[in-house]
Amino acid sequence: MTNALNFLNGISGEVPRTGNQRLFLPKVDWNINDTNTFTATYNHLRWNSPAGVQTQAINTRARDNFGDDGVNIDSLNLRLASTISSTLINEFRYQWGRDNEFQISQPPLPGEPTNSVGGRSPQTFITNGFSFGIPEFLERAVISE
Amino acid sequence: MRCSTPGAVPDGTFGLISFRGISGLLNNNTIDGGDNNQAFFAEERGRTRISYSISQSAIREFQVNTSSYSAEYGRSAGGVVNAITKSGTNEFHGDAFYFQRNNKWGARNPRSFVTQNVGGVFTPVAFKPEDVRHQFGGTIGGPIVHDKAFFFFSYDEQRRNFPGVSTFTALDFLNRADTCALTAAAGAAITLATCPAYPGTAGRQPHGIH
Repeated sequence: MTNALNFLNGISGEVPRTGNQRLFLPKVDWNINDTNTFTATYNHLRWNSPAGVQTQAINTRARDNFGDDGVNIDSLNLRLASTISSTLINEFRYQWGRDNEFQISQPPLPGEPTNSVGGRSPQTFITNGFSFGIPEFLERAVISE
Repeated sequence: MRCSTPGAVPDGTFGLISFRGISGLLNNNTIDGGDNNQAFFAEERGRTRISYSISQSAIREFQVNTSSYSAEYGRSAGGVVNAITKSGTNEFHGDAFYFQRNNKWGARNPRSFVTQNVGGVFTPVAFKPEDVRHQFGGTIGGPIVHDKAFFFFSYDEQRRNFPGVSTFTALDFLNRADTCALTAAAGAAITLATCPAYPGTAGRQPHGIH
């Protein structure tokens, strides 16, 4: 009994968790002539959040039961704005974009069983108490738009 | 800012916005007129886990179309939010910013505890983890060829350190189980709720779990 409680105590506590995001956006405008302007914009985003699937301050999940979170977004917008006449304008737009979102499980903690898929610890619930192992909603591979 | 628009209200607690009572999943988010939606959930790209998908300092203006908008917009039962990015001009312009949010000046979450084995007794101990955010970046724009071609560049970074606290539904879960196990007959089932509470923790449960 004491060993079991010490094990549960060992997989609770402070969970290292960060959330880092980097964005950059270069843009070029080119006045081709008096009636046409071409614009190219690229937007880049990287979000990496170890243990960041669960964002609550406090959680009844073990230290390896939060899940890692990530997002990669890239988009390229090309636009040609044209003044055709004093009463008519046109804007031609082209876009290439992707939005990759993924969530992966964390490796098992010492003492946890490793007999689930990929050597992970199986999801285990202590009813009305605590849960540990690989969360039931992971792995979430990339969902790409 | 969007919520200051008449007919716009928060939808849930995860950052979605409802226009005219329509689900927050039925809006259209565009940048410079180009699509910026996460196709599956029809939210902004990256959904609500990221802070934002485009730097605020790269935005020149934005418009919120709540209803009866032009056929140029559409693709939405709710609102259409379009953001316009800044451009370079004949003069060099730039800005830099740094924001910090730090719980060093905030109170401890009263429900935040960790359990420590103190002299063989599983003891709930009050705990205040770090929570600090740094947000920094800037923009620069100017001419490539006077009156002809212009550039603009925006950089934005956020770094947040916010350790979580893994705890039990009852703050003294381990202590109760341990106390009961010491006194229960061999093989007897333990009902946690009837085990004696650790002093000072009765009725105090973490994170809204009762």
